[in-house]
Parts: sequence; C-alpha cells; structure tokens
Amino acid sequence: MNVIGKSVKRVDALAKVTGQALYPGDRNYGNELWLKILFAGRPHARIVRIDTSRAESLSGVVGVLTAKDVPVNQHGLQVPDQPVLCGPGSNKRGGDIVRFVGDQVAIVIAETEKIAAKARDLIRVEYEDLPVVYTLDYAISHKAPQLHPNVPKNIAAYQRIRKGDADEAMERCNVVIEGVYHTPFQEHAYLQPEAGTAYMDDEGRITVHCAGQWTWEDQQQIAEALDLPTDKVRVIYDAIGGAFGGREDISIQIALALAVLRMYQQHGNRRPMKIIWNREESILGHCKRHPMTINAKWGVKSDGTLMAAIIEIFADAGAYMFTSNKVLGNAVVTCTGPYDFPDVKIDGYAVYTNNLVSGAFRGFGAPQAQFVAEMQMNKLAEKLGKDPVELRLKNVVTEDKTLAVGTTIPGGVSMEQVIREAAWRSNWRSRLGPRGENDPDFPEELPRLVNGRGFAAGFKNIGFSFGYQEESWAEVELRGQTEIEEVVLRIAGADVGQGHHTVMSQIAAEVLGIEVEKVKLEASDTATTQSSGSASASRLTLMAGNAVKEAAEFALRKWRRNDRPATAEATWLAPKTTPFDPQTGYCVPNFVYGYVAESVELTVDTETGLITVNRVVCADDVGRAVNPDQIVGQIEGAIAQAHGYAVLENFLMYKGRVLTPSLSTYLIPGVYDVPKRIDPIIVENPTPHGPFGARGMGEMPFIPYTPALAAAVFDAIGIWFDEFPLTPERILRGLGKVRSRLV
Amino acid sequence: MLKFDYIRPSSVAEAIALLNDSAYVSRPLAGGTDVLTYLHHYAPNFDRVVDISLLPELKTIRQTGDTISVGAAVTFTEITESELLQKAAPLLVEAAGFVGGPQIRNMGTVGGNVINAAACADSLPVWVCLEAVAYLRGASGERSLPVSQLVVQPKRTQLRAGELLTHFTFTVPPTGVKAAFLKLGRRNAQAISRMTMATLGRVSVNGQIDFIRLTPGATTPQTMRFSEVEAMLFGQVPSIALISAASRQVADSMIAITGRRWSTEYKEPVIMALAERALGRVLL
Repeated sequence: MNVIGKSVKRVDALAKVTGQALYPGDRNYGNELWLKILFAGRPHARIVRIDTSRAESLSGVVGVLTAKDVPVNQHGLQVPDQPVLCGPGSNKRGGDIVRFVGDQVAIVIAETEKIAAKARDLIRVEYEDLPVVYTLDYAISHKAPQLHPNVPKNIAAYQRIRKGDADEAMERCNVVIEGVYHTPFQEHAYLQPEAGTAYMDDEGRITVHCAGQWTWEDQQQIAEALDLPTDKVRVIYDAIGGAFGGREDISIQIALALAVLRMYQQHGNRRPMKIIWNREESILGHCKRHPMTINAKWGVKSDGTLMAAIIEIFADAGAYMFTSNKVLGNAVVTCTGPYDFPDVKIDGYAVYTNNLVSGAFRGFGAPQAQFVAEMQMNKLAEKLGKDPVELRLKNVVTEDKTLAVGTTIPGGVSMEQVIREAAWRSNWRSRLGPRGENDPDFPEELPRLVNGRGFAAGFKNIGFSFGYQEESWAEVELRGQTEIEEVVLRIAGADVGQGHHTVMSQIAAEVLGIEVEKVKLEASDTATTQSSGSASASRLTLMAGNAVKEAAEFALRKWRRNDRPATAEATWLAPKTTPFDPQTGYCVPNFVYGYVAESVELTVDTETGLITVNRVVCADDVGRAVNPDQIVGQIEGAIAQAHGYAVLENFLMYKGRVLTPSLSTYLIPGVYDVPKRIDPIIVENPTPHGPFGARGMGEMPFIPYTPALAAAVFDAIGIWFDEFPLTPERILRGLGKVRSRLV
Repeated sequence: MLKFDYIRPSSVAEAIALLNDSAYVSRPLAGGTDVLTYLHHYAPNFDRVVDISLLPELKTIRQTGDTISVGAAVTFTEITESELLQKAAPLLVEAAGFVGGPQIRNMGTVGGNVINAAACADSLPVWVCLEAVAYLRGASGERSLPVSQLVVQPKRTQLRAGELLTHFTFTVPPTGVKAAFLKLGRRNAQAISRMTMATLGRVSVNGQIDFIRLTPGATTPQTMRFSEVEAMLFGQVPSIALISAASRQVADSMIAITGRRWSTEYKEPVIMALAERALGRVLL
C-alpha cells in the first residue's frame, strides 16, 4: 500500500486554513437579494390569515412569499408530511397548520438582510392556537389531538420484534434487571449555521449553492416542491462547516429555490438570492437528536447468561417524520446491545409531538438504545458481583449468534476483540460487587473528590439499509499521454468536515499507483455527479469508497487499452438487506457493522457535583484505517461531542417552546471540559465489503461514552443515573444534597 | 449597515468633553466586549462612540507607596501579565485569568467589567474585597467612591451621564496576606460565573486570624463583604470546624439577602463548598 494507511494531508486543508474555501455564506454576487424566513414561533396553531401588505410596502422589499406561492406545498426526506410554508392557500391538506415553533410561514425577499428582517417583523399573522402536544404520554393518549391525518395516537412509526417467547422466558429467570431510562435532546451545534445562495442559470436551471449531506436528495425535494423536472434544479455544495446529521433534511434549500422561481415568474427578476441563518434560527430550524423514554427488562441466569429482553422504546419524533422511522429502526435493532438473547420482545414507537423535529444525529438512534443496553449490563455486573468486561465477553455476539431480528451478523464480527482491546489498553480492573446503598462497606460520607471508572461497548450498522438498496456512484477520468498526469475524480459525497474528499482521493490514488496530489476533485454538483448517497450512517468511506475503487480500476483498464482520456464510471450496489417483518421483526437489516468499546476514568466532586474525565480509552474497529490521523480526529471529536451529551448539554423545551435557543444558554463543551486524555485505539479487522477492508466509523465512538461515564459515576459515588446530562444539580440531587426537581 | 460616528480623543479631558457634548448621544468604547454584543442584537442607542481604549492615562498600572492604581482601560490580559500586580494583588490576577476566553481577556477591560455591572462580573468581588475606590470624572470635576457603593445592583451603577470611570485605587494588603479566588461556571472556560468567591486572609505568628475579608460574587444583588462571616473568623484560631461553621454562615447570609429561590437548593451547598475551599486556601 502506498497511500492507504498513510495520514496524507487533507486535500481541503490549505484552502480552509487560508480562508480561500468558500462556505455557503461566503458566496457573493454583487447584486444578490436577501431572504429572511418568518418562523411560526408557536408550537401548534392554525393560521387564519396572513397580511403581508405592510411588509411589501416597505422600501427595498422585492417580494413576500407565503403558502399560496408554493407549487406543491409539502416535502420530507422519508414522508412528505411538512408544508414548505404554513398558511392559508396551501394546495395540500393541513398546510395551514403550524406544528412546531420552527415551521416556516413566509419568505421575505429584499435588497438587504436588514430590510428583509424588518419586513419580516411587519408581517401580521393571525393564529388560532391549538392544544400543544408536548409529552409522549399525552401524545399517545386518546385525549391528544391527532397532529397528522391518518396517524392515530400520533404514532409516526411502530416497529416490533418477537423472537421466541420473552414473557415466558422471563418467568424462568431468577435475576431480573429493570429500568426506565430517559435520554435528552441534543443540538448539533455545527460551526456553520445554515446558509446558501441560488440563481437561475443560463440554461434556465435553478441552481442552489448550500451545505447539505446529500445533493441528489436535496435536488429531488426542491424539484418536487417546485413541481419542476429534476434536471431543472441543480444543487452544488460549497464547503460544509459540520453536519453530524443536522443537514440531512431541508432547511433553506427550498426557500431559496422558490424565491428564484417566483421572482423570475412574477417579475422576470433573475437576481441571485442569499440567506444566512443566525444561530437562533439554526437551532430552531433544524432537527435535534431524539429524546427517548426506554423501558428495559432483562432476564438473566444466575451465572450471568442473558436469557430474555423485553424493551419498549418511545422516541419523540417532534412535529414531522424527517428520518424518525429509520432512527427508530436502528434503536430497535441495537437496543439489546451487542449481546445474544434467545428470547426478545421489543416494541418501538416514534411519536409525533409539537416539539422541535427530531432527526439524524451521529449514531442515529444507537446512542439512546445502547445507553440503555450498557446501563443494564453494568447494573447486572454489579448485581452479580461480576466483572463487567467478563460479563460482556460471556454474552457477546459472534458470527454464529443471531441478533434480536433472528439473523446472524454479516460483514465480520469483532465485538469480542474490540472489548478485549479496550480493556487491555485501559489496564481494566473493576471493583467487584455492589457499591452505594447495597454495599455494607460503602462510606457514609463520601470524600470531596472520588474517582471511578466505567466500561461500555457499542456497535452500529453502516448505512440505512433495512431493505433500502444502498448505492453510490463515482467517475474517474485519467488524463495524460505516456503517463497519468492528472486524475479527475467525480463524486457526490459531501465532505462535511470528516475528510471524505481526502479519503476518496487516497483510494483513487492507491488503485492508480499515483500521488494524491494528482487527483483533482469535482464534487457534489448534481449537474456533473450522480448520487453517492448521504454523508451519514458512517457509510461514505465504505460505499462511496467502493464506487471510487471500481471506477478507478475500470479507468485504469481503459488507460492500458490506450484510451485517452480514459474515463470510467461505476455505481456500487450494496448487498441486499430486508425490512422488518411486521409481526416478528425478522430481517437481515444490514450487511456490515462497526464495533467499539470504551473505558472512562473520572473524578466526581461531591460538593459541587462537577465531573472531570481524566482518561478515555476508545478501541474502534475501522476495518482498515485509510487515513489514521483522520480516524483519530473522528474518535476525539465524537468523544468531545458525546461528553457534551453526557454531562453538559441541557436542551430545554417547555410546552413546545425552546428555552435554550443560543449557544450561551445551551452550553457545549470547550477544550477545558472535554476528557483530559483520550487514547484512540485503531483496530483493523477488514470487512470483505469495504474498499481495502474499510468499515465506517464516524458514529461509533459516540455510542458507548455516555453509559461508560454513567458507570464510572456509579463506581465513584454508588448512584445509578438513568437519565442525563449529568449536570452538577443532577449529581447533587442523586447524592441527596438537592431535593427539588426544578434545579 | 450600522451608522454612528467614531471619535478617538487623545486625552481624558477631551474624552470627558466629548461625552458631555449635547449634540451627540455618546457611548464610551473601551474593549468593546459589551458594546459589540449589544450591537449584534439591537440598533445603536447612541450616535457616536468615543474610543477611550488607547488613552495612556487609562492604561497605567502604578504603585505609589502602598497604594496601587489601575486604569479603567487596562485589559484582563494586561492584569494577568503585570508583574506589579502578580506581586501586590494576586487576587486580582487570579480572577482576571478566569474571565471569558483569551480573546475576551485581550479586549475586555476592568473598567468596562465594573460599569457594565453584570451580576456575574468576575472583577467586581475582587475590587470589593480589596476595598478599592473608583474615580469618576465628569464635566464638573472628579469624585470617588468605593466600588462596593458604585455598583448598586446588577446593571445599575452610580455613574452619572457624562462621567467616565478613570481608575481604581486600593491599598496593598499587608505582608503575609494570602489570596484565593474561586469560580464556578457551567463549564471550565468561556463560562458565565454562577458563583465566585474572593478571599483574603492571614494567620498571625501567635496562630490567630488577624486579617480576613470574604466577598462572594454573582451571589447577591449588591456585591459586598460578608461581615458576619469575617467577624466569626477574626481573632480565632483557624480549624476545619471553624471554617465549616463560617461557610455555613456564608450560605445563611446569602439566603438572608436573596431569600430562597429555585436555584438556592443547588447554590446553598455549593457556596458552602466554595467558601470552605477558599478559606482553607488562605487560612490553613
């Protein structure tokens, strides 16, 4: 290997550090018009009337668009259940209903951003408020209003698994571990808030420059809402300042394209449009990680053999589907953890509410589900007085064991190896037996600073799958005469900051036997590239990488046959998967997984409730490390983000309204807050499905962090926390120093 | 585009004249960490900024005898880097190091911190603990008053229209006095203080506490020394029991002033912990 396995410099590094790279907000035309979007600002209401006359008469305002201006007033990645603009005159049923505070009501187009903002505030909207559905219990009760037509009890998605007879098996177990767990919202907090520009090009195509995760899907949704043929819409991604799942769905894309279309139709106006959301608009306007309530009951033999699991998952989908059905599927498949249970009963519900929409976020349902699985496992270890690592190894899934869905795990299973690696590298030793109130030797009065350590494992599917045919396209063009002088690599995968473009360049360079510097990228433009699928589900390295590898191999054969230039494209199709059987859940949901295990060492300050994480060891099977430095970056970044989720990030909503709409009220960790030391351990157990054996890995290190940290907190102070973030108040409440639930 | 005039006077006298020019609504600009944040959210409520950030008279740190003078436009970074203050006022240096992040410390000034009078201002309890005096100059001359009286409550000071805070003075604490400043935020940097604790203390050769001052920050509407606590400690022989009792008194004094609020349940045990740690550092 010449290039694979080398930490080559990122292909976008120079442009980004010198400020040459254009992010969507950096693109200027000199004559652009500015958009401002009016958000509903209320969680559930019918819009009776919209009066835009004062806004339109403001000097500098070019137009105001409302629901009546949208050709097909609906969109959605999985289900088109969201109006583009809410209000009267919508050509889709229910388009006059606002279902969450971030619903878009009007688009103002003006000479400057300031005028647009002023005009937005002059729009008069008459609302008729409706009862707000903001808790899961209420949403699924008979009393709650139905938020979407034909969705009784607001159950947006339901998935179930029946393997064996879990109720009967549970009866025979003499050890039962039971818990009710709550996981919180999480905001993506990427550096670059949503922004974009759009114009009509000389061919009459509406061209949208923005930052997203899947050009092809953005193009489809824009075209459908505008009732245009797909080839009349062109989507180009500029540099992308982070995504983490939060750019999977539509934010400003349709608004921009709609403004271009209507200004041209109504006024023959061809001026470019521009929009930049501020942080508050970003926080209201894109989805959050699903809050979930999960009831879990495990039946276990007294020797620690897992026998039965009965689990109920309730995920708050918020106002619209986005990717909730897929997130729920992942949660259902992974909620038993990477462990073997003969008898399983799982019921998973994604529930519509009037809260912010929930959607994709690094881990995609697995962090919530496996928080529960790993908490259960660590509680079991405590109860049985067994070492949590040994207990895991006793029950871990292997290639010949079946998951809850009734099928074995394809793609090479390295869970055991990864657990052993993390345990060995962290010099794992545990205090055996009970802590806290069940431990006769546990001190009555804890010292000021107490140390603890905890362990957790995790696994996650790569790709959406569940019967969806994953595919990825790439094209390679070899230029030169006697030798390859330049390679043009056309791909559509979004480099959201994870380094995708570099990794693809490395794969092409490896196949072609050239230096990475010779690879020239033409990326993420629907006019010149097809679909590489989404930059999510840890899927691009494997799937787009396979396409690039195949295209490069084809092109090289053509080159050897003296084609000049030698051009070849390839579309890689993933192995077949199947959806849940509606009754039993039986399926082959995925074709490959990634594996991870972590140990966390921390100190709890029992007087202030503050947690300091001293060391994290993370062992992650990446199949093949294409670019080791970038993998280390992903591990460290995922752990920093997970630390925020576990300890600090406290997203608050009350009755459908956001109480933490800024980064000064919603605090993400800074460099002094993240773990003091992270030891990333790269495990390479190649999968036959990946290019050079590579698996996906971007999400995995996030998954075990919270349960490992919660186990370390238990080790320190003898208290299990079944909900988080573990804020100082929550820790002191656990210690009995604070009683009120208000703080 | 925001529109307002900008002017940079070359002396404090000129700055005062500009601030009192009735043709304009003027706003002094020092580090800009409050003015700029304001402009991000609101239209300007002034039509001219008077940039005082580079006035030499406002930038000096000077010792005369046992009195130290610190100009209002001195930045937090300049405080932390001042050898004079490191020696004579470690309490101020320690607190300055906790303010915001490096960018904020490079721009933000001690004068702005006090006049903006946020409840969480990190330098405020320090000035109060040092018994610092603030000098205010206006069209009709100069006056001075203790910082503890200058800031009446969050966002409210006794500064009059057209007046400029020029500098602070304080007496160097006696030899042997130890200082401790503790800060509790929701994260370890770039964080707004939830509670701070500024403490000065000394134990004499015969083992008794002969110097003690304690000022919690971000705790009470008016920042003040907790005299009941100081009285409990003064003249006593320091012990863990004594410090525990004094810390209990800190919490009681806080609640006596603020009453019980939703946040008190957390703040009560935690302010005791902060007081114990701060007092432990200066007395044990």
